[in-house]
Amino acid sequence: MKDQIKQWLQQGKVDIFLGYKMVEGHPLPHFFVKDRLYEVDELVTGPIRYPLEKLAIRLAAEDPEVKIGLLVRDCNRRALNVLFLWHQLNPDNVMSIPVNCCPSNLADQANCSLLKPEKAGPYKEMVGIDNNISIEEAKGFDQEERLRRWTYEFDKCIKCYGCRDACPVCFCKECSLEHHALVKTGDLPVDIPIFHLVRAVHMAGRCIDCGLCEEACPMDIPLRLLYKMVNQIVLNVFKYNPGIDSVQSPFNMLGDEVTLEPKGLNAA
Amino acid sequence: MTVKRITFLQELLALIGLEGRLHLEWISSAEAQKFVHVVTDFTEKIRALGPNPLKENRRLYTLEIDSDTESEETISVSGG
Repeated sequence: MKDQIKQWLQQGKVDIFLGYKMVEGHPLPHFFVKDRLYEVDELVTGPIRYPLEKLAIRLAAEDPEVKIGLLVRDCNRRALNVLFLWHQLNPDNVMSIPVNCCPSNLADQANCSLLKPEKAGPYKEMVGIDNNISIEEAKGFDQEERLRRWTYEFDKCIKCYGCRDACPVCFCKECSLEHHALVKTGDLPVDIPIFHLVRAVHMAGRCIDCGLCEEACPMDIPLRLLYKMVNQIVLNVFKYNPGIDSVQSPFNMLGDEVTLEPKGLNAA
Repeated sequence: MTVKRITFLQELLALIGLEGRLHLEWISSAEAQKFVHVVTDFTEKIRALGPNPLKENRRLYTLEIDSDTESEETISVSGG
């Protein structure tokens, strides 16, 4: 793999390669370039995950012609698909090297930080939403309990914007979450449910379920579960599966044809 | 498309336990009877559901959970 990266850099197939390097004992994203080819030997892979595609978007925004190489897992691959579809990256300028990711009998080991989810404590289990429960379980609470549990989770939010910053498919220049008319910045407690549901709506039809938001969240809010749930609605209503389908999400400003009937007044 | 968007929103609100508070209906300007019927029915439905639980007392859960121990402190610190 390292030889291939060196080869790509030398041949000019890529101008910058995005990988990880150990810095002070921490694997951090690093830009490998031709001028410092020796650094490629220090490239590391492992369970560590960063949104490398997000760095690639920044680079491409600065210089649309720059050729970028990067390490991709399955989640990175899905994120790249979404970014190509939304014209944030040019597929011709992106080269990728797959890295070991999900568990398989054929791989020596599974390398993903997501594979060891933290178990919820008893208090969170009692009043909040356990991050590891299924969509069905989360929907299973009765109405009052559902509201109370989600309110507990959202209420913990310290508005660090970590979920947005870590998200590989968040690329808007102006973020609604920082728009004064919509969400007051620097104001706590967070506006429930506006803050989280605005983000949830933006993730609908776009979230590729990488789980980085939840890993980034210092308050342990079950964001991955929330975005999984909105994506399930998008799948049911719009028949769209982000990261896999090869067209832009129909849940957008322009819309598409109507095939559903309105719900009756007494429907749940 | 509107019906899909509203369906999405209805289900999104249902996820966090705010279902039944959003309704969509097409009514022509010639359908006064239908307008009255829909608005009356929906008003009754909303009234039965009560006020928006998120508007006030956001710390509902703390009140319930901590009612036996140190409730005074929790409420005064986190209220509002």
